[in-house]
Amino acid sequence: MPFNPRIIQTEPAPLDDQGELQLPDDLAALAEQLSADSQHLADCFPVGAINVAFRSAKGRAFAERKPTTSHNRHRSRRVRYVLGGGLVTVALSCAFLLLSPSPFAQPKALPQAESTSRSEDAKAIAVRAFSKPSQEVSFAPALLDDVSRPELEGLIDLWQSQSSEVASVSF
Amino acid sequence: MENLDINAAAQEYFARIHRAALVLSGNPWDADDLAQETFLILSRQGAQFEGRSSIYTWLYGILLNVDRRQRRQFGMRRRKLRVLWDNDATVQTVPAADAKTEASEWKRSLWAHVAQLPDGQRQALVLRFSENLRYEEIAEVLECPLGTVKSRIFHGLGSLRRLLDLEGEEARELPAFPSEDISHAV
Repeated sequence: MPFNPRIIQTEPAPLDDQGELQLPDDLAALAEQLSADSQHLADCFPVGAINVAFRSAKGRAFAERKPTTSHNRHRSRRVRYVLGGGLVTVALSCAFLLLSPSPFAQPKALPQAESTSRSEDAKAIAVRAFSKPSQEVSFAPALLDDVSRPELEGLIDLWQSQSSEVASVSF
Repeated sequence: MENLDINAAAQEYFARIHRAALVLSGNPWDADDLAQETFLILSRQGAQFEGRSSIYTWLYGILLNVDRRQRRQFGMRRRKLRVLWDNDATVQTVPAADAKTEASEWKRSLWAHVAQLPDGQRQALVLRFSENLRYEEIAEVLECPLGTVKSRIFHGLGSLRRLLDLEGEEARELPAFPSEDISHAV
């Protein structure tokens, strides 16, 4: 039967008179080798300069957070709202002015023949668009070549976190 | 409750936790993730530290829990990946050049074999022979009796010995497959 390290072993650990673990020579040598390997791995992959600044859940660093009173927080929020509202108003006004026709210009009356030809052109364009054969889309699966393990785990996290809700656009 | 200075704790203990994470995970990327996750949890739960144990034993406990959780998640991802890869036999993943060097360092160390042991034995060996904790401290971290700690260490070393012996026997008996790419097994 092949050796399975996960099988529970019932043999008691050898202890000396003081209750300390008494390892056989070969196991003691293994223990020393484990310690040496651990130090070797730590030397191969050092931590480097530790520049740690833990951040709160809102993304602001503990060290960088400036002490603010609640009054200051409310005031800055109000200022942001007012500025944002003003910007939106300006943007809407500009859009309205650009898109709306000038009140002083008289609308040009198109000749009858030209207007019908225009509608016919539009119809022809629409017919051409719908009758154009659809382009073939290649469904060749993307092969994840040269993907390292951390990148692969990131991709999997991305797939799992993608929401199934349909994206919506509001005007 | 003792008020913890999280940043001071990180400056003092990050290297130790990172070393333990290295031998637990087997590669520096996962070790970085494990160590940072440990201190992130510390930053969130630092207020719960009551000072009954030393801060580093508490940190080791967090680290082992994070490692256990990530191993479970990795096992689930590996099962999902197997479904994807099995559908396309032509997919090959080639590790980056630096990954081969790092993987070879890991494979040369005994800790690569310790990774095959059960969780209890593996954690006891890490805490004892990588972090040099006393048996009492290990019992506190693993939340088990002192006798259990000594038993896990003894049987863990015995299992490691047996795995090494078996590996030596298999290496002598089995020929290398000529079509198999063993360039990663440096």
